[in-house]
Formats: sequence, C-alpha cells, structure tokens
Amino acid sequence: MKNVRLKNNKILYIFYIFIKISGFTIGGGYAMIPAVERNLINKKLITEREFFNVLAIAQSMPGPIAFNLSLLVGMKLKGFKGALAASLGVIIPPFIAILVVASIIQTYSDIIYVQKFLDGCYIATVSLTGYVLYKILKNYKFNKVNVVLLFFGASFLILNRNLTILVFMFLVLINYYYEKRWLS
Amino acid sequence: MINILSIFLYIGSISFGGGWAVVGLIKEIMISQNYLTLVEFKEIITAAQLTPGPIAVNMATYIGYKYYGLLGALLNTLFLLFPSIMIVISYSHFKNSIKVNKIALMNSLILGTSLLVFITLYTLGIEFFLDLNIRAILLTIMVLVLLVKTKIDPIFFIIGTGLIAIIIL
Repeated sequence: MKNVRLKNNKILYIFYIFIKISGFTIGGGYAMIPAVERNLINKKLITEREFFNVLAIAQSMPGPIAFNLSLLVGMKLKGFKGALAASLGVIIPPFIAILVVASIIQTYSDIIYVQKFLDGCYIATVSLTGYVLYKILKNYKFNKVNVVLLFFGASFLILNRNLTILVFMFLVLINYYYEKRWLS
Repeated sequence: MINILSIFLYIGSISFGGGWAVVGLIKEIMISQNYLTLVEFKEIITAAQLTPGPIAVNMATYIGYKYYGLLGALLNTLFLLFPSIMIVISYSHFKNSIKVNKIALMNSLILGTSLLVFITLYTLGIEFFLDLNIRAILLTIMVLVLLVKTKIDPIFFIIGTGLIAIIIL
C-alpha cells in the first residue's frame, strides 16, 4: 500500500516539475532546455550524462524538442505513466495560455494599434529566426561538403519551396553517409 | 477539419530540429491553401510567441481553436504531437537493435535544421524586401543585432518591438 502511494506521488511530482518548466518558459523549445536541465539535474532525478544523452535523442527525433525531451525523461523515470505525466505537464500550460491569448487577439484585432503591435511582434519574430540561425551556424564546425550542400539546398529551396522536405532529407542523408564513410 | 489535421500530422512528422524549422512551412502551407491570410498568420505567430510552450504546438492549438473551437484545438495539438509519441514508444522498444553513427547523424540533422531555419527566415522576412519596407527592414536588423549582442530575454524584444511599431509604422 505504501509502495503504491509512493509510486503515484512520484508520477504527480514529474507532472508538477514539467508544468513548472513549461508554464514559466516563454520563447519555445530552446529556451526550455536549460530549465529542464536545472530542474532535473539539480533535483538529482537524472545525472548530467543521462540528460545530454536524452537531449541528443530528443533533437534527432521529429517534433518539438521540449516535448520529446519530456516524453523521454518521463519514460526513463517511470515508464509509460511517467512519459504521460511529463508530456501532459509540458502541454497543458501553453494549451490554456494560447486559448486565452487567442480569444483576446481575436476580439481586438480590428483596432489599428493592435494591428501595428502585431506587425512589430512579427518583425521581432523575423529577427528571432535570424538569431536562431546565427546560433546554430556559430556553433557548427563546417567542412567543405557541409557548405556546398547547404548552399545548393538553400538556393534550390528559394526557387522552389514545394520540395522543402525532400531537399531536407536528401541533404541529411548525403551528409550522414559522407561523414560516416570519410570522417570516422 | 480532416485536411487541417492531416496538415499538422505531416508537419509534426517532419519537424526535425524544433519549431523554428517548421514555422516557414506552416506559413507556406496555410496561406497557399487559403486557410489563413497574412494578417491572421501574424496574429497566430504573435500569440505563439507571447505564450509559454513550443512554438509549433502553440500554432497548432491556435489554428485548431480558430476553426473548430476547443475540440479543434485539442485534436490539432494531438495530431501535431502524435508522430513524436509513436517514435518515442518505438524507440524504447528498438533502442538496442538500431546501430547508427550518432555523431554523424547529429551533425547531419543540425545541418538540415539550419537549412530549414534559413528557409523559415526567408519565408517570413521576404515580404519586407519585396515591399521595400525600409522601416521594417531596419527594425529587423536592429533587433537582430541587439539579440546577438545582449542577453536580454527574447520576450522583451517581442513586446518592445510591438510597442515601437505602434509609434513608427
């Protein structure tokens, strides 16, 4: 009996930690990673090594990184129930927030000042995308093949964006086999 | 409804490297299929920025809510996340039988992600240049420089730029 209660508590605790992480981190997945790190490693739920291992897997899966991370960490801590608790914790706060913000924006979107405010936020979003790109490129160690692939991929997609995903997969595969064959 | 759901299922299954990579794709698909106007897209991306949570999830919730209310919001969010869930479940089953070169795979995926983020940047920003909207271009560059040079939380830039825009645009 005591054991069962302990188990349920742990699941609630996972849920609580991920609600806290998700509800107080504005700005998307990349902003969330340090918060996950602080909360999980400092509370000794997982070790640093385990965390970076899980992070690497989360990044190589499709889907939002923070969500993948919550699924994997939850799974590691408490199996399927843990994964369920962690992922619900990540999803619920933004879900409620977006419903509130959506109804506010839809009510007031005809006012000219609100329009201009939205335009301004959009501009900041463009800058933020540029910033994300800058950070990825800054930390990446390029070789010649990477540069050539990126250049051709980008030029091709500017001309024809319907094939975005095909070009993406093509680029990843070529680069993977190149690095596996020649660099390791 | 099925159509929107399948769009987000598709987006969820290809969104490698986080939300920023697919924002451009969401814009592209939703506008070209006449689900959203540019103004509506701006509303959605702003709402997604001002709320906690991954940007792609926020956008899926908003678009679902806009078209089909609470149920739409719920279903659209689930469809976006469904591929992740399936992959985590299958990963925990097969993790010992998959043999990949982890470093090469990570390098390749990051490279691919940078391509997707570049296309997002291009898709989002191109209209300023097409309209020759000098103020918007200058403001974009200014905010970008500040983001690189300072460590201020991006949320302040979003709200701040919005307020500046009320005055100067």
